Parts: sequence; C-alpha cells; structure tokens
Amino acid sequence: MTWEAISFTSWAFVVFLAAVLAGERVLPSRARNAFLLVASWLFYASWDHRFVFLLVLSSVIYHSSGILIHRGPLTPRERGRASAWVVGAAFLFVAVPGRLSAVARDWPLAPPPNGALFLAGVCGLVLIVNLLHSRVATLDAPRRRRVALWFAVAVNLAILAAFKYLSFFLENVAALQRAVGVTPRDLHLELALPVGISFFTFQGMTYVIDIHRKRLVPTTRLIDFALFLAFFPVVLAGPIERAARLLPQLMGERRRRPGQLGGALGLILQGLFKKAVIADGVAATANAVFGATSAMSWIDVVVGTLCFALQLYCDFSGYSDIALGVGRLLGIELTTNFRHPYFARNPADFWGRWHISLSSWFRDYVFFPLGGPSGGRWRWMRNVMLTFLVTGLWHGAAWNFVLWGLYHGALLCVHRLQEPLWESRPPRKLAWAPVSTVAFFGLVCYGWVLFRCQSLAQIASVTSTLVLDVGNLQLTAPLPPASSLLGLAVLAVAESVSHVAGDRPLDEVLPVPAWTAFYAIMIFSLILGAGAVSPQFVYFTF
Amino acid sequence: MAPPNLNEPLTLPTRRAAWTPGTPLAWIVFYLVALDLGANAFFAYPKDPRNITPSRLQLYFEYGRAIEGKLARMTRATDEESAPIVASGWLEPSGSTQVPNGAVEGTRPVVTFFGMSHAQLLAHDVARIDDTLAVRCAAAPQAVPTWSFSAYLEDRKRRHSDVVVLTVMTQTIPLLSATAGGTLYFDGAYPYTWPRYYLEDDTLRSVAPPFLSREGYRRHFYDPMAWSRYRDWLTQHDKHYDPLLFRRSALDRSSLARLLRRSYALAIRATAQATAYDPMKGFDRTSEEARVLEALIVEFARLARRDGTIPIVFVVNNLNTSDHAFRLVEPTLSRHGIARLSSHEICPPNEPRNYLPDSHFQPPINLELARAMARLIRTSLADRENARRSLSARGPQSAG
Repeated sequence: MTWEAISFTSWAFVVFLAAVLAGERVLPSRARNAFLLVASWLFYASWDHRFVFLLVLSSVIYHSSGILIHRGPLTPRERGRASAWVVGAAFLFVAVPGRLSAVARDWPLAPPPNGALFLAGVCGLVLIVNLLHSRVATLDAPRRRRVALWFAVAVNLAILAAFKYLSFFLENVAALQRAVGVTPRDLHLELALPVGISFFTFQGMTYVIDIHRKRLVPTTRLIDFALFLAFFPVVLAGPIERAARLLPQLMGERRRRPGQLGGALGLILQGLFKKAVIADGVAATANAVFGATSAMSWIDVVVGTLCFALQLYCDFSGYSDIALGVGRLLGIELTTNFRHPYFARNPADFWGRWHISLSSWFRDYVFFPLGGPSGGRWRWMRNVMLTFLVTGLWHGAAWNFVLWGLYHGALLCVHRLQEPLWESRPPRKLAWAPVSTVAFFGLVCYGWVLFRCQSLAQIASVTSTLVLDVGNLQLTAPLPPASSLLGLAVLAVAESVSHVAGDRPLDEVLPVPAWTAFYAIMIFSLILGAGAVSPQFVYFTF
Repeated sequence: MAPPNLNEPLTLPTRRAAWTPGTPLAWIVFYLVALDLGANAFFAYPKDPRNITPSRLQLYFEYGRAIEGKLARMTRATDEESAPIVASGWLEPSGSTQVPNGAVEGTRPVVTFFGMSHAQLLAHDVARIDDTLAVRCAAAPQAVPTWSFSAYLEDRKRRHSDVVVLTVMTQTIPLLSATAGGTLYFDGAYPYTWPRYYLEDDTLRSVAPPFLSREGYRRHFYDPMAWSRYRDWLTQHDKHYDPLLFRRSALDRSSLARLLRRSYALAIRATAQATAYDPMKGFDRTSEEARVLEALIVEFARLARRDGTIPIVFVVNNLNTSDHAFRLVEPTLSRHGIARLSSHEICPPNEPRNYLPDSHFQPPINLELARAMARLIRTSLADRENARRSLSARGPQSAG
C-alpha cells in the first residue's frame, strides 16, 4: 500500500481540509477534538506513518507529567488510559509489516527488527513507569515536581537526540578516533528522521515547563493535549505554539466571525504564492550553485545565495501563512512566525522577525534560565552564544548549523558591544535606515551560506570565492523563471508597503481596490507558475 | 496574575478584524479578467505559422492551447505555408539523411543514428571529427525509443548501414507509450506519429496509427470524420492521450484558462512519468515502458546483426537523473553483447554546467561524446573486420 503525503500544496490537502471542515461543522462540540485528533494523526501518518507512535508517546509523557507536576499522583484511571494509549500505539506501529525495519538501517549492532520483541519492550517499559510513578508520588511536592519535569523533558529530548543527533555524534567520535590513529568500529547508523519531531518536542516542553513555573494549570483531558501536540496545521513545521496560547483555543468553543473566511483564504493564498511562485522558482538557481561539483564564479555564488535567502524565507513563511490560514478556518489563531525579516536593521531586530515562535522559545526556555541579560556584559554574551549554539543545533546535526548559530550569536554580541557608540552619536534615521537594512541583509545572507553548505570544505570554498573572486561576473547558474521574478517584484512592493505602515497587513493599510490588486496578481502569478509546485517544504527536514 | 486553568472554559484571544469577502472578491475577479484580456492583447501569438521566433512571453501564454488548436495554428495546405515543424519527424518517407563531411557513401562505412536532437547533434559532431565515416541521421523532436526503433525499421528497408546507433534518453523512456508528437510533448505538440508497441507473451507487437506521413496527416486533419477516427484510435492506443488536452474548446480563448490547462498537462505528465520512473530510485523494471524498451533493444540488435550491421545503443542521461537510464538498459546490453556509449561516463548528470538550458550537452561535452562514439564505431568495425579475416583464414584450413 502506498501513501501519498498530504502536502499543503496538493489537491489531496484541499480534499482533506474540506473533509475536516465539514466534520467540524456537523459533529457535536464534545466530539470535535477527538475528530480533529484522528484527522491530525492521519495527516501526520500520510507523511510518515511509522512515527505516529512517537507522537502518541510524547503526548502521554507530557500530559501525565503535567498532572504529576501540578496536582500529584495520577488516578488509576488516568494511568490506565495513558498505558493503554502507549501500548495501543505500539501495537499499531508493529501491526503493519516493514514499519519497524524501516526505522533503522545499516546498524550492525542492532538486533534484527522484531515486532513482538518491540511490543514486549514497550509493555515492560509501561509497567516500569507505572511502578516508578508510585515511588515518585510519595516524594515531597518540590522534589516530585522536579522529577516529573525532568522525566518529561529528558525522555523527549532523548528521543529527539536519538533520531536527530546520534549519527552525527557517532560520526564525530569515529573521526576523532581516526585522528588519533584508532580504527573506529563500524557504528554507522542511518535513522529515518521523524518529520516535525523538533517542532512537537519543543511544543510539548512549553506545557510541562510552564506548569512547573506555575504559569499554567494542566488539562486532565488527554485527547485535548494530544491534539495540541499533533494539530495538523503546525505538526510538521510549526509555528511552535505555546500550550498557554493554543490549548485554551482548542478546548474552548470555536467561534467563527464574519469575514474570518476571507482573512483565512487571503493568508492561504499569500502562503501558496510565496511557496509556489517564488520559493520553488528560485530553488533551482540555489540548488545549481550549492550543488555544483566544481567551483562557481563570484556572481554565481552571490546570485545563488540571494536565491537561497529568498527560497528559505518564502518557503518557510509561506508554509506558516498557510498554517495560520488553515488554523483560522478552524477558528484557531496561531502565532505569527514572520514579520518582514529582511527589513531588519540589526541582529536583535532580525530575531524579533524571523521564525518568531522558535526565537522566542529559545529566549524564554534557554536564554532566560541561563541568566538572561543579568550578570553583566560578558555573562550576557556567554548566554547569547550558548543560546545560539543550541539554536544552530536545533536546525540539524551538522557543523555548518553550529557555525551558523555561533555566527548569529557573534553578530548579536558585536551589535551589543557597538550600541553605546551609536547612542553617543546617533545617525540620522532617514538616511541610516535603508543603509543598515541592506548591510544587515548582506550579513544575514552570509549566514545562509553557512546554513546551506553541506560541509566545512564547501563553506571554505564558497567563502574564498566571495572574497578572492570579487568582480568575476561570468554567470553560469540558471536564472529563476519570469513568473518568479514577477512574483518577487510583487512581494517586494507588498512587504515594503506593509513594513512602512508598521508591519500591518495590506488589507488594513490599503483601500480595497488597491490590496485586491495585489491578491489578483498573486492569483495570476500562481496560475503562471502552476503545475510545478514541490510538495516539500525546506523546514520539514529540521 | 493567576495561571490559566485549562479545565475551565476560556475566552478566545482577540482576533484581528478580517474583511468580508463580497466586495474584495468582485474586485479580484475584475482584475483577473483585466489581466486575462491584457495578456491576450499584449502577448498574442503570431498568426503567421512561418514566424518561428515568437517572444518568450508569447510562447508562454500559448503553451496551454489544446493540441488541436496548436496543430491548426501551425498547419496550412502546403509545407511552404506551414510551420517548419510540421515537416519534422515523419516516418514516411524514410527520414534518414546524410550529414555532409566529405565522406562518400559506398566508399566509406555508413553509420546511421536514430533518435532525438541529442542524436542529431552527436551525429553532426561525429561527422565533423571523422571523415572516414559516412554519417546518416534520422531524428525527430523529443523522439522516444519507439520512434527511433520505427525509424530504424523504415530505414533498413531502403538502405544498408554498417553501424546503426539507437538513442535512448532518460526523459523520454517513460513516454514511449505515446504515439504522436502532440501527446508526447504538450507544449510543442508536433504532428508527427509512430506506431504503438505492445509486449504480448514476450513478443513485440506494433499497431500503426491511421497515418505516418504529413500528406496523410493533412488529409485527416482537414476531414472531420477522419480526424474523429484518429482521435478514437488515440483513445485506444495512446497511453498519453487526454481529451482535455487534445481537443479544441472555448477555453482556448482565455489566457488564464490556457495556463491552467498547461499546469494540468504538467501534472498529468508527472503522473505518467511516475508510473515508470522515480527520480530518487530510477526506473521500475516491471513497468510496461521498461519491458517494451528491453524487448525493443533486443529486437533492434537481432535485426541489425541479421543484416550484417553493428548495433550500438547511445544512452543520454539527462541532468539530475543520475545514470538511471544506463542502469535500466545495461543488463540487456551486456546479456546480448550490444556495444554502447552512455553519456554519464563522460558527463556526470549531476553537474548542471555540462548541460545547456534546453537539455542538450554543452558543445565541448558533445564533442567529447562524439570522439568516444567515433572510437567505439571504429573499434567495432575493426573487430568485425578481424573476425571476418580470421573466419576466412580458418575457412580454407577447415575445408582442407
């Protein structure tokens, strides 16, 4: 049986969404979340049916820990329900032949995949956790709260680390061994990365951490929490929602307001336009430059980098726009993830505009717990660098992401160090604004070089081309299609208008005949470039 | 402030006031109609079929016209009045022509190439670098292997070649169940036709379309009854025939509708290709296309050898398709001892700079491929000559 991934840009998604909206409308309010949860699991399963088990496991761990942190021991009924969910999901996981074997490949140390053994292992672990629960329940409240929090965070981070970072770790240990003359054992591990794991793991952490900080009272309804984690508009690539923001909306009565449909469709159109017309159009140029096996000219690298910067922004913000639009169709308001990031004038400004749900997550759950801005300049800089190191690693297990994170940390530190200079001699705002925007965009683009390159050697090669080959204008990379260039011009004008008006949406800034012209051109460009839309979004791989 | 209790009903967060769809929708429709009319007015395709240099935008807005509409635009009563492409690719009369290089047929070994423009460019470069070979070529735009094989069958009826080169290309293999330039390539919609090949009990069987020449095409095209019968034949035998793409309709008047039809064509094409080819994994050997191709290559080699001709297969691996085409045909070629040249051995398919934007090889790469092909042809001819000599040398001994 073959599954077709339900992508936001596919007709399958249109059918899926129509079915979900119809179901939402006809079902009684009590059954809606169960229906949405099943739909979300099916949506996720269309991408990777093997890992719905992980989604269920994470839901149960976070939810049970939330109760344990806030209230104390789980009732026998709650424990029974949690155990049944995990065992049931494990059973489904092994029920279809080939699921288990496809998770790990090429690992000589691993035992041969065995469904019965896996099921027995899961049952055993469930039993152990139930026994441990009785012990944890007897602890005094502060210790119980701490143990439950660390259990939830550690288990979920361990799952994330196993899937995302273990291969990277093993490869580097092997490289280290080779460097000191020791022949490493063949520990190559090729684990399939569960799509969206970084997003739902972090989303779940907001729940237990906020309960531990006494900023949130947990829900006793596991279905609602599981829906919060698996909610299909956000499960693959965010925005990373906070429990305190999304859960109340999922649990409350979803009220639809007049005009909401139009706003939602506008967002979906905008997202499709960014993805299909621009991101997919410029991707070929970026891929040609960064995928070339021989050295490229300076202009090739510059054009390729610009195209990648546009591809990444339009792909990811396009996805976020569609997610926001779909959420709004369901009566849910999701977090805005992008606010014209390429208009940023400095690193602090940029991180307030780019992937806002992630940058604010790291601010609230990493930077501030490390001490935040308190403790003097050097301590602040240490905390910034550590936060950005983790931010880089979040994007992927590779040294280029580490470098990219540290690069942005360094930019922020330098910006902080030179701030007093500007404060003493403030430049004239009107003249400075475009200059600083363009200059900082250049710095961001170099960051994307670090981000896009696949090895340190490639980073060195591209950087040397940028520095030593200046002026070589022999362009060999293919240019984006005309529809993408038209789309870029439209986007640039639309974003400029919106930015100048204080980052407000076009339909709030312009009269109806003006903003509808933008939407008509978007539809026209979509039709111009239709037929070649990629179902994949870049951030699915993180 | 008290923490939110998720077990109690909570008020929804404030949402931005959104617009009502009525008036904006009317404005959007108004703008779209204006854009549609504007595109038709400013980027109208040239009416004269002899004009072969429309602007890129004129071409772009024309891509989505139905195949019959495109054929009507390019076809007139005579070749002189029609677009030059109307005369391309017809199997009847046989289309192989000599590539001039100073070599005189009859005094030099004759090498004939069959395939698409890639084969034609290779033939020209082989002729250029080696005047010891008399090079002939039969080519059609975007030709699929079934067309090349049919062209070979037609050619062998009329003339003898010492070497015949059949060209196989990654992009066209999944489409070899098409039977017309129109169903093969929607954007261009060439009128030429060729037979459909089926594999029945491991035997290759062909069914010819109602016409294989441009005279036959004109007779059918201008006769509604005959054309209707041709459409029925396509429905029955052409796997890539789709009435929505083929038949003229009122939708052709709208530039936006044409663009939508083109996107549908691209989606249909992608689906058709996916049945035989996965860009990550390569070809599905069990697909009809892969099995027909294998049988076709075997038959090509068998017939050529029976005629005393050396068969060679030239494999064109397109950009970003790895060596999938080569891997598909290699076992068959090895099993039957058929000489071959695969482009991936000289030109890595993952290197964009080896290719021109229209999928052809960069001229220096093409020249290098031509050198390799010329070497292969000379070696094959020399081997055959040596085999003949040793056979004739052994002949009297064994007789004695």
